[in-house]
Amino acid sequence: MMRSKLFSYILRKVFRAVFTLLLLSTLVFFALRLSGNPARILLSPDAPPEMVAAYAERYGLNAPLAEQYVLYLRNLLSADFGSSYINSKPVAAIIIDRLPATLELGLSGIVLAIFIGIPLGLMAALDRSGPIDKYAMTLATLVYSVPSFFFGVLLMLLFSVALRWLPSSGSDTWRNLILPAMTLGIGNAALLARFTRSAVAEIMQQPYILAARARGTPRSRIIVHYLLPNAGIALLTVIGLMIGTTIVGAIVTETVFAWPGLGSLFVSSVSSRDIPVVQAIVILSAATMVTTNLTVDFLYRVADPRIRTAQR
Amino acid sequence: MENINGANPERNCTGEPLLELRDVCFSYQSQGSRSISEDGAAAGTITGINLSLRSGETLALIGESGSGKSTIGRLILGLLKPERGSILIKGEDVTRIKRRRRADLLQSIQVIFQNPLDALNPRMRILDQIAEPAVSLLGVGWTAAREIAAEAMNAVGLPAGVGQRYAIEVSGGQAQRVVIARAISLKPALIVCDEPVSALDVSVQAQILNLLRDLNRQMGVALLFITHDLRIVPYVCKRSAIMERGGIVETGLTNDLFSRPKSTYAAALLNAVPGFLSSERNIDRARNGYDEI
Repeated sequence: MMRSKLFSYILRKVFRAVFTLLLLSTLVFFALRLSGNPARILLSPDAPPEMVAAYAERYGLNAPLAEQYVLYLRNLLSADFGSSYINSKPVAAIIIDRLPATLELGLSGIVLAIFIGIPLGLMAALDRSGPIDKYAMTLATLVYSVPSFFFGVLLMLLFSVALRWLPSSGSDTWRNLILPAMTLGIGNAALLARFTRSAVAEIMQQPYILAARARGTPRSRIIVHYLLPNAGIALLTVIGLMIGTTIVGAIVTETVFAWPGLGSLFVSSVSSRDIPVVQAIVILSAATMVTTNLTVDFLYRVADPRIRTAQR
Repeated sequence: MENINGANPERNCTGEPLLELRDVCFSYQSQGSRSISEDGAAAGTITGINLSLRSGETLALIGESGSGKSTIGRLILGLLKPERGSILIKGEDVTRIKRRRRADLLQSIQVIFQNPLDALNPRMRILDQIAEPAVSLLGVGWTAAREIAAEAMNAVGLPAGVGQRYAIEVSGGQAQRVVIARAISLKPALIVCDEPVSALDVSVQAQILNLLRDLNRQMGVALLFITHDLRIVPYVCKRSAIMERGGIVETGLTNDLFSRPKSTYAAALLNAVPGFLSSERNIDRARNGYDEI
């Protein structure tokens, strides 16, 4: 009985995720075609009609929209995103080529955010209304309210231009990763610090914490066995969102630091009207978010017995 | 069942006081915090509290909500620091000794709070929750601690299978037994019971009260029983102290205090309980009532 309920729960979640992806893919397809015939947009305004017709023929743009849509969905199912309008290379190959750089940057940023944000938020909560709390939260608010491109430029001016410690662009060595990862990670660290602080502060008021303190449980044990595991659910949500927005989050940072990932590819593809590439990146970004949400939902069940019991 | 003044209970009440409060004063306003009090005592002040409790003794701290009884419990547990006065455990003033020594002394005092489900870590299995104090306070390994926990579970009548569950998977009565098992796992000299049955069903209340009384008899553990429910006091506690607005207005043997209260407030409090008149007959009825359940 319990097993069948779990199975139906998983099935329901997966079905919802697939439906969301289908809806998003449809929206992306029609939204990108609202701006008119891609062949006309791509070619120069004075291009001869024969050339526009040949171009449209080559990329199947002459077919009715419904037919194009069906073909698009069929290709999507076999992970075929078509070919780039600019260099005729398969989009999947272009994306596979750029994906590792984005993953490297995104994951570095998330790790940095976790290692800075969680301890900072925890210290602030443990010193509630004290000086650490006030300074840490003021700093977090300040950092979070600064746009990431501006923050990136500030870092670049300081560490690359003034101090000449780190390179300002490229991806040749690990030193190239530091500034973009800091740009991406510190903003997320500020967000995570605020969430950690509020989650831990709320848990500290729970009677089981008072009971542990009354029993004489050492503070370090209360933090490790009581505060962090119980705050974990809230933190899991935030970290899930960060992972889900890795590609979107990297757009600005990759552009500022000329990092050769999907974010900078997206910007260049939008400006060159390379619809198949833009389409593929948007779908991949949505798929990352949907998959992360699905994973976080399952992790909730593993992490918290209350959720498991409530769903039985 | 024997009454509380019979031969068995409190047979170990001997010698030096286990716990002594001397002229203890406390005010939430001066601490800048009002959040810790559950009974509304945050608005009030504790003034000139003098109390003593010997090994194996049972003392009820009675009063209305906001009278400061839970605050006294928290002061004893070291969760709050008194502004003035001394709290002596086994003759040592815990407000003036080093942190490590204070922690050692406080190990002999454990606590049972009002809502047992809230007092359990929702993310830890029951067996580990009971074993955890032995690991963190006695420094034993998890295997040995789980054996201690299993013994404690057996002592409070919990089936072994409950150990693998989480707090959300047990009933209120079972949860309070878990809390009691956790409290006795360190073989404490004193358990501070802060309204330990007020969040439970009546039938479960009787089981928990019987259990606490049995623990007092068999293990000789002293009980400081904080409650606003006068009806259960004669059943558990030999001595009582009545509190009003942060001060103790009357102390004495429960029997005497309930049948012949000296202060006007104590008399009014006893007579305010529906169906509970301060007569010896009614005290006997209250005492025996739990045996009939």
